[in-house]
Amino acid sequence: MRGFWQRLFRRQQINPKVNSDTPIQEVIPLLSTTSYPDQLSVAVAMIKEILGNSDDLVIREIKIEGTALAIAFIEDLTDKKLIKVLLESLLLKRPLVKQAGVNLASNIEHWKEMGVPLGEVTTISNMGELITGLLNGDTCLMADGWSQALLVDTKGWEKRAISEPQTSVVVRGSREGFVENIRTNIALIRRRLRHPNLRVESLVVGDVTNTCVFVVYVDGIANNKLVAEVQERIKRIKIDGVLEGHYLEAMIEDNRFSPFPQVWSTERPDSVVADLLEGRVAILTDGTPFVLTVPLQFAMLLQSPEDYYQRWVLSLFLRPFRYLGLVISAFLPALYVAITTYHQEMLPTSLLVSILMQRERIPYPAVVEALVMQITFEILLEAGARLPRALGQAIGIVGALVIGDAAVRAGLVSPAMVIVVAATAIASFAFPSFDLTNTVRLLRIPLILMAAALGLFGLFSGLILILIHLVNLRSFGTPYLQGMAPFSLAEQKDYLFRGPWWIMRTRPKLGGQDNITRQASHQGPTPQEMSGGEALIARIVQRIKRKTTGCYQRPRTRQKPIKTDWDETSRRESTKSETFTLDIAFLGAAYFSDVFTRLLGSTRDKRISGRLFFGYRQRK
Amino acid sequence: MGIDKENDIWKITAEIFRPSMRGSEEGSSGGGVPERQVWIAQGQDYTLLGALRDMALKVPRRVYISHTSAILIGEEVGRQGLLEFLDLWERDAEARIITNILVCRKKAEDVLIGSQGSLEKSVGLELAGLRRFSPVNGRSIVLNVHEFATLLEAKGADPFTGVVELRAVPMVPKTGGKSLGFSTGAKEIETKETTMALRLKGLALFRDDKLVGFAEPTEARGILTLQGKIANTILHVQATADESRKDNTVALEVFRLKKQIKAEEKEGQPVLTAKITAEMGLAEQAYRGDLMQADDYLFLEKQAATVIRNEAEQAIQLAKSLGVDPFGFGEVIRRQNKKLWQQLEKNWPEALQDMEISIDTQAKVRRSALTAVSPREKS
Repeated sequence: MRGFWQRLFRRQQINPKVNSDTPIQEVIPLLSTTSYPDQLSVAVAMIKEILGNSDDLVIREIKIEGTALAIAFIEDLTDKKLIKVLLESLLLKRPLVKQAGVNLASNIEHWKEMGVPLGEVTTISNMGELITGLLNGDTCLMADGWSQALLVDTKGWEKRAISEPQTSVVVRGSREGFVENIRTNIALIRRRLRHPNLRVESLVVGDVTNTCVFVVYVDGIANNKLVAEVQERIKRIKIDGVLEGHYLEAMIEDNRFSPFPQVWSTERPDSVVADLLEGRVAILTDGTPFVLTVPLQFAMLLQSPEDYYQRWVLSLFLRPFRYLGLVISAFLPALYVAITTYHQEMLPTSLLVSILMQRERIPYPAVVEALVMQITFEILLEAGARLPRALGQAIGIVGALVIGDAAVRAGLVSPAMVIVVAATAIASFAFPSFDLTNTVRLLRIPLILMAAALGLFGLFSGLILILIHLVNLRSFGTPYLQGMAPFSLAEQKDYLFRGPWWIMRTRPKLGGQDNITRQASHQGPTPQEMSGGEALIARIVQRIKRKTTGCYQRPRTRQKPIKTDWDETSRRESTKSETFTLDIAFLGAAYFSDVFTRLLGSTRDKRISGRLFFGYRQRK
Repeated sequence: MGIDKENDIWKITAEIFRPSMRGSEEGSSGGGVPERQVWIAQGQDYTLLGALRDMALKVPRRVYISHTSAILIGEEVGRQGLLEFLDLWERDAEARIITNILVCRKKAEDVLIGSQGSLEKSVGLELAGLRRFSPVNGRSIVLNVHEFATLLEAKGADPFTGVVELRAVPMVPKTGGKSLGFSTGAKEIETKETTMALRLKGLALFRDDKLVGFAEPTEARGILTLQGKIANTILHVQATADESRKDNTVALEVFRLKKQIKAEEKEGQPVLTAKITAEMGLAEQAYRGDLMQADDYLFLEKQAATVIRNEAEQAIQLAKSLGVDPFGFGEVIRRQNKKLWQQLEKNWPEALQDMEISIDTQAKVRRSALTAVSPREKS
C-alpha cells in the first residue's frame, strides 16, 4: 500500500530529470541542478524518493510556533549526541530562546545565525548538496516555506582507534599509524605540522563512492606547479569507485607499465610530515590508512623513518646494507644460475667441487632448479600472506620441511640452491618499503631467465635494461634517480648513506621548491659568540695570562676563529696589519695596567706589569 | 693433467674429478685408505688439443680444463720443449694461466696414475696444497704457467719449477678381521702397508723452454735464495765451535730473506755482487747449554751466513755447468747496465759461465722464539 502511494507521489512530484533510467554516474550532477522545493512535504518526499526510502534514513517532523520543520539524517552516519543537542534546542529550549527575545520566526538567516547550537552550518539550495550532505553524515534542517535548507555537521560513526602501523615498524619513533577515517588522518598530520601554511584541499573522486580525497602540502615549500599538477591529475579521474589510494596511484603515475612504484605510500603520519617538509604533496584517501606522497624518488624506497630517529652513525652504517640487500635479492639467484651454468671458472675450485657434488643427483639444469625454488617460494609467500593467522604456522612448517629439507633429500634441488633462495628471500625483506620488495620479486624471474640464456652477459644486459628504465622514469616530472642521475653532490647526504642532521641543511632537490634551506648552519654547541670589542679584551686577557703563567689557551670559537698565533714564526703576511693594531692595543692595555698598578702601589703587580711591558719590548 | 710424448704422439693423462659422494664414503669404510675421487682419462693425438679432444670419445662428460690445478710435464716432453704446451695454454680461452706447472722424473703418466692419494681427494688438489704450504720449507717451489712463462719470456732469465715424484709412505695399518664393526680387540699388525704418495723434490731447470737438468734440494734452496723467493726455511748450524760435542746443532728459522744483486763492470768484464740479508730466529736448540750471549749469536750468525753462501755458490756452480740462468742475473744486468747487456745478450747463459760472481751474506739472529733458554737450562 505504501509503495503504491509512493509511486503515485513520485509521478507527481519528482523532477523528471532523475528517474530509474538515469545512468548512475549522472545522478548527483543532475540532482545538483534540481533546486530545493519550497514546500516541506515535497522536500521530505523527494529525499525519501531519492534515497529509495532507505531504512536508515530518519526524518523527524516537528512544529514550532506554527511552522512545520523537519530534520533529516542518516542514522548510523551521525553522532547521536549531536542529534540530541539539536533536538533539545528545537523542542525543549524554545521558551529560553523566546525569553532571550530572539525571534527566529521562519527566517532562514536567523535560524542559521542563532537557531542551531552546532559548529558547522551551511545553507544549501539544491538537492545534490542536500543528498551529499546526508550521505556524509550531516543533518538537514528544513522548514516549510524556506527556499533553502540548512545542513548541520553531525558527522560521527564507528571508527577504528589509532593503532601502531602494520608496515614500516620502528623501534624508536612514533607508534601512531593512520586509520581509515580521513578526518582522523588529517588531524594526525596537523598535530605534527602546526603551521598556517599547511594546506588541505578537498576533492571528491568516484562517481558512485564519492570518496573524499585530500591534497595536502605546505604552501611555501611545495612547488605550486606540482600542487596544481597533482590536483589536475586527480580531477581528471573518472571512475565509479575509489576504495583505496592505489586507485588514484594507478591513475596518476607517470609510467603505468613500470614495475617500480612512482608514488610513495605509507601508514605513518611522521613519514608523511617529513615528506611534506621536503616539499612533497600528500594525497589522503578516505577509507584507507595508506597515504600517498608524490613525487617519489628511488632513494626513498630504501629510507626508513627510523633512519632519522637514531644516531646518524648507525644509520650511515646500516643503510648501505639495504642497498646490498637489494642487489642480493634481485641478482643472487640469477648470478648463481649464470655462474654455475656458464662461468664455472669463476668459482674457486673447492667451491665448484662441492657444488658439483651437490648437483650430482639433480636431474634438472640450474635454471629449472632456480625457477622451481623461486616459484615455490612465491606460492608459499602468497599462501602465508592470505592465510588466517591460525594456519600460518602450519604453512611455515610445511614450507620449511618441504623446501628446506625434503626437496633436497628427494634430489629435486641442491642445498646450495636452497641457500641462495633463502638468502634472496631474507635480503628482499631488508627494505623498509614493501613496494620495492614486490618490484624485486617481479624482476627476479626474468633475470634468472636472462642469466640462463646468456650467462653473465644476460644478467648484465638485464641490469642495464633496468638502469635505462630507472634513468628514464619520472615521478611527477622529477627524475626517479634524482641525486644519482642527475648526480648531485648535495644529495649524497641522504642517499646511499644518511648524514647527521646538522649536515642536512637543504631539502632534497625536487625541482622548483620555493624554500630549499632547512636549517641554520653550524649548529653544534659552541661557546658564545664574542663581539669585536669582547674579542679584543679576550685577546689581551689571553696575552696577560700567557705572560704571567707561561701558558695560554686558545680561545675556542667556531664561527670566526680569532687569530691567536702570536708566535713570530707562524704569523702570516696577511694578518700583519691586524696583529699590528693588536700590538698597539696591547701596548696601551699594558701601559694602563702598569699605571694602574703603580697607583695602587702593589709591588707584586708592579713586577708583573713590568715583566709584561719589558717582555714585549725585548721581543720587538 | 699429465703430458707425455711418445714418438711424436702426445699423450695426455687427465685426472677428472668425480663429483659424487660415493668416493669419500667408500674411503671412510675402507679402513682409512685414502681413495682418490677421480677418473683417469687418456687421450692421444699428434697435437695437444687433438689429444684433449680425443678424451671426449672416452669421457661421458665435458672435459673442462679451466679448473685444472696442475700440469705434470714428463721428463721427455720437458727435454723436447714446452713451447707447444705453453702456446696452447695461453691461447685457449678455457685454460687459465694460474694452472701450476710441475716436472716429473720419467713419465708424468706414471705419477698421475700411480699416486694412491693422501689427504686430498685428487692429485690436483694435493698439488694445489703443496703450492700453498711448501714455501715454509724453501727447498722447492711450484710455479704456475704465468710465472713460468714470465721467466721464459725474460731475456736474461731461464725458467724453473718444482719436481714432483712418487715415493712409498707407510699407511695406517688395517686392523685384522673382516668386519670393522665395533670390535675393539687389538690385532697384531701383520704387514706394514705402504701407499704411493707425492712429494716435491728440488727443482727442474730449463734453458728457454727445454728441460736441461735438475737441482737437488740444497741447490734448489740456493737458487731460490738468489731469486729472493724464500719465505721461510730452516738452517742447521753448529751451536759452538766445539766440534767434539754431540749435541752441537741448532736450527735457525729464516723468516726474512732479501737479496740485492749489483752488476758492475770491471775492466770490461762484468762482475756480479749478490748481497743476501737474512733475518732468522733461533728455532730449535739441541745444544745443552746457554746460547743467549751476544757472542753465541754472533757465532750463529757467522755460521748461518756461511751455510747460505755455500748453498748459493753450489747453485751458481750447477747453473754454470748446465749453462742456464735461473737466477735472472741477465735481467739484473739489463736493468743496471744496458750497454754491458747488449754485449752479453747474444750468448747470454754461456757468458754467465765465465762471470765472476761474489756473494756477500749477512745473517742476523733476531730472536729466540718464545723462550730464551732450553727447558734443561731452566731447571
